[in-house]
Amino acid sequence: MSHKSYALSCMTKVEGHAKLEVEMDGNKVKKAEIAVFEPSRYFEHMVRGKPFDMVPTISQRICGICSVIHTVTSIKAVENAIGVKASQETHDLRRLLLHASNIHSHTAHLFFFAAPDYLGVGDVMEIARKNRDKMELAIRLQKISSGIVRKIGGRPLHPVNCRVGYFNSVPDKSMVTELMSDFRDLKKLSTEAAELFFSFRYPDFENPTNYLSVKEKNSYDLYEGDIGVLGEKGFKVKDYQKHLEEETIYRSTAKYARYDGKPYMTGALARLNIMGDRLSKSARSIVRKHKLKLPNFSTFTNNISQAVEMVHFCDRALEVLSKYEKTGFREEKRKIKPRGGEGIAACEAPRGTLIHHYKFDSKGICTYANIMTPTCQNVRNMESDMQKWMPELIKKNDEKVKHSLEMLIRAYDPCFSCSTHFLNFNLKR
Amino acid sequence: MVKPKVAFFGMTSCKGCYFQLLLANEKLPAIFGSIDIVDFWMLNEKPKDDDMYDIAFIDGAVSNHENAELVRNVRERSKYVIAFGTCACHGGIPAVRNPDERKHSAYHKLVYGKDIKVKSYPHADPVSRHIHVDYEMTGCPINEREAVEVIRDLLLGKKPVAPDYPVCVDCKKAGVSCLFKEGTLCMGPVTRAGCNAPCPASRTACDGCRGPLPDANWNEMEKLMKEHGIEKKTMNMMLGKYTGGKMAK
Ligand code: SF4
Ligand code: SF4
Repeated sequence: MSHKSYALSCMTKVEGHAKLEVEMDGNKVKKAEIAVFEPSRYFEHMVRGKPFDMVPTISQRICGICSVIHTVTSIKAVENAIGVKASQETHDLRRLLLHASNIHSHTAHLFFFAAPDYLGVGDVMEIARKNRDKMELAIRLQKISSGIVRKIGGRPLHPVNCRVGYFNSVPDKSMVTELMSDFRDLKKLSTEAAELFFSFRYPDFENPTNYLSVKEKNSYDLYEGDIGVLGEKGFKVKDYQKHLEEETIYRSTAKYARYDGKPYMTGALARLNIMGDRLSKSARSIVRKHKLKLPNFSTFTNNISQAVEMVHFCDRALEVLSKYEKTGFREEKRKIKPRGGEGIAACEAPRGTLIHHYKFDSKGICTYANIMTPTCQNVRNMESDMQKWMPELIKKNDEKVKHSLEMLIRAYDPCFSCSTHFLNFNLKR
Repeated sequence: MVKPKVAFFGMTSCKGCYFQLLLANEKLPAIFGSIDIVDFWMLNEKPKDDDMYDIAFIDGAVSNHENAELVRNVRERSKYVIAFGTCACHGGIPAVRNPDERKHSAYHKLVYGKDIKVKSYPHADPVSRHIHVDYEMTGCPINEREAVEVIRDLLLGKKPVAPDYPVCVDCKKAGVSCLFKEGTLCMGPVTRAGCNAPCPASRTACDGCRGPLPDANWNEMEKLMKEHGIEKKTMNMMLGKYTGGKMAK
């Protein structure tokens, strides 16, 4: 077969810069690689030498859309390292921040990045022109969810109010009522969104793999727990370096990870596969209504999983808030005295497991940092998906191949900006 | 009426400023309707090489050769260039590494091992270090209202003016009581306003994310910081956090 090769300028609608390279020999895959070539960003170095309370304010700028989760995970890791115990109230407020930001991020991915594929339009601007109602749904979801982050965190992006050890200001009783009504509104809109994303037709493609997520003790949540692995025992967060091996790839400025030597998937689908039996009643009834099979091995189901999660997290948030309905949250200003030490924390970012790991000297100055973003964990699995799908895809013309692979990568909701970024596409056949 | 051609470009940053822009919510359809977005690296298909732009937004810091090429190219093709966000205006968080410039290659080896070539500059630059910039929209992230107003001004043929007063004025306007009264050190007095002081409103000190206010009273600020027990080294880190370690004075 002739070796045809061409370059497509960039894979769009994912946040960042990366390059896709596929080489085929007939219908055998010779190469299916993703390269991330965003300028290196050096966050792990930039936080070194910085005081403990400045570290999360730098780490949160790793990614604009993931800033809440970076803030919270970073703060938790700092607390673990310097020996600070936060109150139940503080933990609950952080949970609420994660619920709202998860919905905010999922909406951005689903409507702005993924939906154009399934509505058959070029981009979100076209949705704004042709599917006004869908655009309005997206805007309302964005507005309310980011509004909640602003009300609790002080700003919709890069929250400032959430500190190591406490919150500077907390929602009073009337704010709790307001937040509850926000989450109720969000729930209605999320249900609409879920119906919409169930109505789309997704490519018929399955590739069972390893699914990993932070697994809460009893609930389906994002904030704490050991690492759960579908069908396996899982492991403790503190052992992450034993199981999740990060390799530096010559072609990339991001580091790729494997789980015990194997590719794995993390994100909404992994969470649903691992904690799906704990969904709220409403979320579960949507899953039943559409006969979604769980566990599910189609990467494209990640889109639907995100929509289902949105409904679930509204219920979770309402459950948390109901504890404070009569009292509001208690104000607590603390003086934090650091001690030296090492700390690791894992939370679930919208797009998967996020790990922050720091060491501090006795004055609370950072001496070491390691941060594992979800996208760098998913890249290997994207490559494995391409390996599996290409022999079938290659029957189509180049334009269709490109589009299908773009949809596939997009389904992961990758944030190449997190794992440092954008997609060029090279196909040799 | 011919709609002005607008383009958005991204360099080294967290892209938060674009997400913040999307928070203009209801105003978005109106803005998108009155301009012709010819390039949006994040949302639509490939950049078009032959376009001329009426307004170009550039976010992020210039931190490698490609970034530098891109901004020069955009400048040549644009009537009005906006540095979008503190990264683009001052280097921002990507420039936190600048004071350690000399240790760059050692750094690089630590993260990526010794086999990978250093492609990035040892420092992250503000866009204005490479090209002439017409408007600096600061903020980490930017304020979406300012963005909407600047676009509107430009549409009306007015020259947009960046706020030239400190965050303290925003606090007064928003009816937020001063954090110094509670004994909290705040960077508001030396920081450019325009954000409506969301941080002090949640009883959190301003971090200086909108960058330095030209003509601020730096000596006074340093005195205040000393009074609050901040050591010299930390002081420099705080004052230069969003400007690559450089203080404005
Ligand atoms: S200025 Fe701040 S919010 Fe904007 S892109 Fe840079 S780091 Fe992100
Ligand atoms: S108050 Fe200060 S830190 Fe907060 S948004 Fe304004 S300039 Fe930035």
